[in-house]
Amino acid sequence: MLIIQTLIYGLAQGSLYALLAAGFALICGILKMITFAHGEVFMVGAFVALGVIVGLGLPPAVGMAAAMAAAMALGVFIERVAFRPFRGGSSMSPALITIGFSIALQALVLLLAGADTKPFPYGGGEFKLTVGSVSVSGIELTVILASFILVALLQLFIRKTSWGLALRAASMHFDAARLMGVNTNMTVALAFGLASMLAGAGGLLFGAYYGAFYPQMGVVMAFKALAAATLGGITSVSGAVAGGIMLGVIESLSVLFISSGYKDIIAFSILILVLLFKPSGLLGRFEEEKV
Amino acid sequence: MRQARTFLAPAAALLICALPLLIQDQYVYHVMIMAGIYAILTMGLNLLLGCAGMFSLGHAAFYGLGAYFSALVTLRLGWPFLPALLASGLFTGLIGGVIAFPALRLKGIFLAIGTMGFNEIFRLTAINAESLTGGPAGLTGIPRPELFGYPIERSVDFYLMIIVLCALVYFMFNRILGSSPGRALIAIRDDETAAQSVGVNITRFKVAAFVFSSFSAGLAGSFFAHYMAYISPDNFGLAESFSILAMVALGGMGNLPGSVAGAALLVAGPEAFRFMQEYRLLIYGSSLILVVLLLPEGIFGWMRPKTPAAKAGLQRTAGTGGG
Repeated sequence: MLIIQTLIYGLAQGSLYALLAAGFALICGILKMITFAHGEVFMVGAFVALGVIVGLGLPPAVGMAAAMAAAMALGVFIERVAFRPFRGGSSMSPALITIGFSIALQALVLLLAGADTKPFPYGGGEFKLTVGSVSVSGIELTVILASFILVALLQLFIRKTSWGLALRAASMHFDAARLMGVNTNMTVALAFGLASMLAGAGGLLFGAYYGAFYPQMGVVMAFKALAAATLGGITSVSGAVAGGIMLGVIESLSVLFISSGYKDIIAFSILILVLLFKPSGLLGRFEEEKV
Repeated sequence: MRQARTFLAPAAALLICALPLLIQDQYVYHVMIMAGIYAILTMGLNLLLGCAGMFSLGHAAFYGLGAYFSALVTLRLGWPFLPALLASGLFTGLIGGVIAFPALRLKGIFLAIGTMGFNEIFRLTAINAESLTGGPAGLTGIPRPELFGYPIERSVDFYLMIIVLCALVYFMFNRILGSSPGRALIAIRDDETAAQSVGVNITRFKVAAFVFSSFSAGLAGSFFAHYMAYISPDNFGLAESFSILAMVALGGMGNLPGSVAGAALLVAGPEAFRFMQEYRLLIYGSSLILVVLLLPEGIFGWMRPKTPAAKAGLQRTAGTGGG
């Protein structure tokens, strides 16, 4: 039974990774570049939600909507400043600018909200779903369900709408999509907007799950989610989501069987092995480099 | 521009060496010594990133490897400073060479992600392998250097030592960039397939770039360990790798004197804002954004380097391609 309990912890943690990893895949799928400010979009979303829920006293659902809206605006702004001027060129400049955003946003939130870790007012401790000796708390259930719904909505959007079609076309062949009349500027902004909405929602869920909001909360999460996305396939959204779940489960199993100190070493070692032997990820599509 | 340069370099060198006559403040020395350490790190990453076009984000791990190696051989085996310094460089260079072979399979952002993973694995191992590395608390009481029976204890001595070390590393990289291997690296960065088609052995040059880059990081790490007398895993995290990357960018990709200046500016600059402590990181992050947007060749782009290879480095500031 311990193993099932461990798997549930892994699933909750993994679905938080999945929310961020899906965003990395959306962005990387189109631009073949990575952003280093995704963790801070996640953190800003979390703090906006906390402000709405605690500061204004509004219900958590409103906080979630505010987190997603604020994160989306921030993500689109970062795309405009860090990525659009360098489209088709070096990936160094966007990397550096997003590192700059990451440092500046952490410092800004530190200034505005203070360095102390802030708790979440809703414990969710009163509800517990118990089957045999396995129990799932309300907040675990919320995290898993909310992530599942968000990822499902994203998949629906990508597969069923014309905007989604444009996204898929641009990630398949950027220039060809533009020649076919896809508004690529809009599409890239859309990818960033969607990725950031998921990140903002993930920020609130993370803060609520661990009962902790702090300016550096996005740093480790974003890096692990990037590892998870690479693990599953950084150019495909479903691959990245699967990678996120896998990473969460691998981590919780290695805590159970090995030790908590080594769980991250194991996760990153698996990442490097996957990069070396199947760089497109376990579920990603392989792209042959053309001369 | 050229004439300005002929006077500028000796004048700067003279000023740097004469500083001990002018300055008594220990704090100023500390800042300048750290600038020297970062200058070595930045030059090393510049070879990899700015010249060979390899997007490595794990430079702090090599820095840390050198620091831990040097601390351990002096603490546990009782080695004197100079052999420890050299051995740290060679050991780190060797590890760099070993890492290079798998790293060569990765391109662009995948290399960046892989090297970030390597950096984290190094830091986490240093935290967890407590019997060897002292765990999260790190290693303390690392012996101060002794050169030919003369103990190095004062800040001035450390300052003069790092200047000598910096100069040696600078000349090493200057030689590499000015010679045919340097041009081969630039060719690889600009177009790998084209370079290969004219007979450049890509694997050999990329591995060599990795070895020299990590060799210099190992030297910097060793010096840092003996200067601070205390190291911990926190000194060698990803944030450190990002800082070194920012220094390379500030100085300009492939620009060797720029790397030194970029390091000095990013170490000393935040210190100048110390009076507004709480805004320091906000200013640091925002200026990084502005510098990349407004000065794509680096803040010292006007400082034209002499060697043709480095010149080529300036003309194409673009680092690695997309994917």
